[in-house]
Amino acid sequence: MTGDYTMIVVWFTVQGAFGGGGMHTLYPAYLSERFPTEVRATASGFVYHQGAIFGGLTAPVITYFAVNWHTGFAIPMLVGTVLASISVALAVMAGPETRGKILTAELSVA
Amino acid sequence: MAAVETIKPVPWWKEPTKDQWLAWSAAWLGWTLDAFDFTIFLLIMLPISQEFNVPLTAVTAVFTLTLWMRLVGATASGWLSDRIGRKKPLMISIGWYSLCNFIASFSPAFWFLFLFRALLGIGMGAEWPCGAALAMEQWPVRSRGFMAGVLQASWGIGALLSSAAYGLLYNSIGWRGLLMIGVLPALSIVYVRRFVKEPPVWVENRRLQRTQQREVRVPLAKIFKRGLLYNTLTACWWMASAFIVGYSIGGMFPTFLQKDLQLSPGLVALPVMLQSIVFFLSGSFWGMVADRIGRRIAIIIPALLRFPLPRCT
Repeated sequence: MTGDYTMIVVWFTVQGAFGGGGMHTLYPAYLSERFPTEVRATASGFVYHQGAIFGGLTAPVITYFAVNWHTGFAIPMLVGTVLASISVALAVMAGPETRGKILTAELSVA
Repeated sequence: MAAVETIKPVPWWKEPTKDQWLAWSAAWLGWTLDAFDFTIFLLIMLPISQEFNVPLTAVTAVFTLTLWMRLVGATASGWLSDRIGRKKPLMISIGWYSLCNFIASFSPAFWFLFLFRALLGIGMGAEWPCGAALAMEQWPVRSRGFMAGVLQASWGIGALLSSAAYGLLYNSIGWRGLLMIGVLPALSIVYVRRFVKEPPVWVENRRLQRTQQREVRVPLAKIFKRGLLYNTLTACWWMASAFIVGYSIGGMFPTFLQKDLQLSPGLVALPVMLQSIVFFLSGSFWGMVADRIGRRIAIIIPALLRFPLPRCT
């Protein structure tokens, strides 16, 4: 990481546009549309937050590599981000497209 | 021709009814304030470690644990809201996290803080599934992706509020004062109670379950049965990857600025605030793309656009 304050501000802001913004905001729509009404809240709540388990492990793992493998923070952060981004793309391709899906009251898994 | 022109399409924001707006707003309030209560902690980890004289890793463990407890809260409240409706669990969860933050502000020792932040995690996780289901079931399909984007991206608004509170107030009220402010979200419970109605889709579905005696009593088991299993697993895979991307950098950032660069509260708050604004704008933009082109493309493109970025470090 750079020590220059202006660079940090610019970089962290741009990072918000892609890293944060783009791929993390469709959770409510995409998850709600993937599951039928009988199980919708349980399914979306569980699926979303099981991801947090892995999210919570990320910081310690990155710190471990940074400290014990003497790589510094930048390299493990880079590797983690790139691999996980590709994984996001693959996982989403494996799932259904749900644009325009009508959420109905009919029983479908009951 | 004139006849054709009079049938102008309704603009998307006029399509939803009042009830639909009220429901979406309730989910929005719950989520934004959830973000406020969660992100405020990221900004005060260092001063907390100094006051209780514990290593910073112990404080980051609180952060990790809060994150994990969210799974417990989310599954429980999702279950509850599939059975008894979206409203009540939403109110309970907002009250829960507000109260935990408030109690944590009086921590006499580190273990006390640890305990109440962990409990807070349950409430934070609990808020999301009820809010999301409520808003998405109510909202018309045409602009659902966009409003999902605005809803979820409002995490940025919550983070913006907390970094503003930190930048402006930290020097006068300290970390305890900032945690104390976290009780204010509880006021929104009154709004949910008075103005929000259950989604008709859920009400009808629940009625059908009852009258046809085909109740889904254990929805968590259902999603791992044939029919839904593949869908559940690919969705889990997606979310796990997304969380790893998100927390690879974001979680430790304020601490890095405070500790390694010794920056003052005002200077730490600035990049966090800017990032939150950009997060909000781009999140809403990709929601729009999701409505025009598709859900998957709006997730895949930003995911792939992202990875040249960390190289700037």
